[in-house]
Amino acid sequence: MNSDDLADRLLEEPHEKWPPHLRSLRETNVRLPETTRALLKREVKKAKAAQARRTWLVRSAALLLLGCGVAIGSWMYFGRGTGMESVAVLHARGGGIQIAGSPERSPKVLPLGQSIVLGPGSSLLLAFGPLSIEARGPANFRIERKDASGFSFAAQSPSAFVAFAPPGDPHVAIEWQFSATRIELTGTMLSASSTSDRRLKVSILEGAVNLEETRSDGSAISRKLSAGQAFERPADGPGHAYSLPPKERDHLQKLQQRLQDLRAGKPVIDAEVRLESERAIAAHYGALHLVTLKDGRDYRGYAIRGERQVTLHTPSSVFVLDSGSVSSITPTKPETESEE
Amino acid sequence: MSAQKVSLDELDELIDRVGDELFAYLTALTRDPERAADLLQSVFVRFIEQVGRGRIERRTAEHYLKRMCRNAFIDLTRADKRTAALPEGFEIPEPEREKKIRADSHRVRIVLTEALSDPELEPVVQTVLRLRLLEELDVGSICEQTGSSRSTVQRLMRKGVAFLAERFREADLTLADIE
Repeated sequence: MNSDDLADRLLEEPHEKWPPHLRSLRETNVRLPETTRALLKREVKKAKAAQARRTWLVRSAALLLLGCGVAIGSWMYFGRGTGMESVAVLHARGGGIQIAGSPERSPKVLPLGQSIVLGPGSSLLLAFGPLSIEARGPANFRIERKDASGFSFAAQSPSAFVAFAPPGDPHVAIEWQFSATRIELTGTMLSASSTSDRRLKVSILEGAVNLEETRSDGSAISRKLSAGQAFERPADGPGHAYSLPPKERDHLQKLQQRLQDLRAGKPVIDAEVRLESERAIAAHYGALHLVTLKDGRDYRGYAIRGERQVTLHTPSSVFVLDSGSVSSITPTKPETESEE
Repeated sequence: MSAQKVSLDELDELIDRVGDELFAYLTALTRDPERAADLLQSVFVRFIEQVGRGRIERRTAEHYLKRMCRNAFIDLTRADKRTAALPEGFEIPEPEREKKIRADSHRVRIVLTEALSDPELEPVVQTVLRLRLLEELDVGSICEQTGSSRSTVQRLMRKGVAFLAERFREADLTLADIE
């Protein structure tokens, strides 16, 4: 059959005379029935609902896994086997506090294993599991878990630490790497400090301390210290132990109380820190107050109102006022530097 | 860069866009609108599954659907044949010639239907073919609708049928098989 002939035939003849396959094409000029269209769309809707259910299940499972992962990770990271709580900074004061890798100068959470740099005059008070610790600058140290029963400090510069632990098992190790000295501390209330000229001082309120030191010349010193003792070693001498002076004992006990207050969320006054200007007080505490007494006198400094008394840290001194004599305590700003 | 996949949210729009064409295609193949509707529904259920698994590329979705329709029709004809063969062991012998006619008839339907919507067919030629073969307008009405003279319509019709003949040859068929 010639295609031109077929074309002419299709144009000239009525469709009844067309070849059967072409004749039936007319029947295919149809539209999708609405009932079929609705059925197809219903299938789509069912598929969407099934997919939404699957997505919900997958997301729920993923969230559950993520939650388990975070819980396990936190347990492994912060307190594997010790029941320790997260390491948290309680109190950071003064300038120059930096946590390596943290954009915040005073982060609320102190990750284990990260280096902490304290500038001169800075201090960091923190809750560390069951321990309360004060660290003073200049210092560059790192807190790491040592084993299942305790923690270690690794310091790379002169620093001072005061650690208070509840009686029992906690085990604290402080290692000053710059002087090749390792000190094992097992007391429950103790302080230890090292200075830039490599002098060392350790005070023990309770418990016992095992001090082991290895010097660069290879000589090793081992010494056991007991509660109520202090130990001082000059840069090059063997050192000597003596009874803890009452003043130092009192200082450590007050410090312990202050750390307990901080842990409880109470504001504290750093009486031992010399702050000689309003600007320094504002920078240290993050606030400055104007305290007006009922007799008309007023003081500028950092104030904490207790139940019966108001403690005030001013550029000249730290003193306590009777709450009944105070008319008002209002926030203020440092006056000009020339007046300071 | 990975190809964009069809999502379930796009299917309603896809049904509206290609539903008529696929239904007409299946009707042309099956010569039975009810059967075409059933086939289209089963094709779509499988298509939705594939979409849900993220296996259908947006670029080829329509072509893929059409291929699924054709395969569904071929499966159906095989199934019909199997039904006719029952009961087992009592296959009704079918003369070779009749078997070939039936098989060719299915192929003619496929080639003819696909050729009429082939993208390689010039649009104006396709219009003339559809107006005459599907809507059965007379030559005068086609001239009126396309704004062409009788001789132009005749030329376009010849061109269209030549295109069909070419597609038949490619499928190892001849125009005589249309009869």
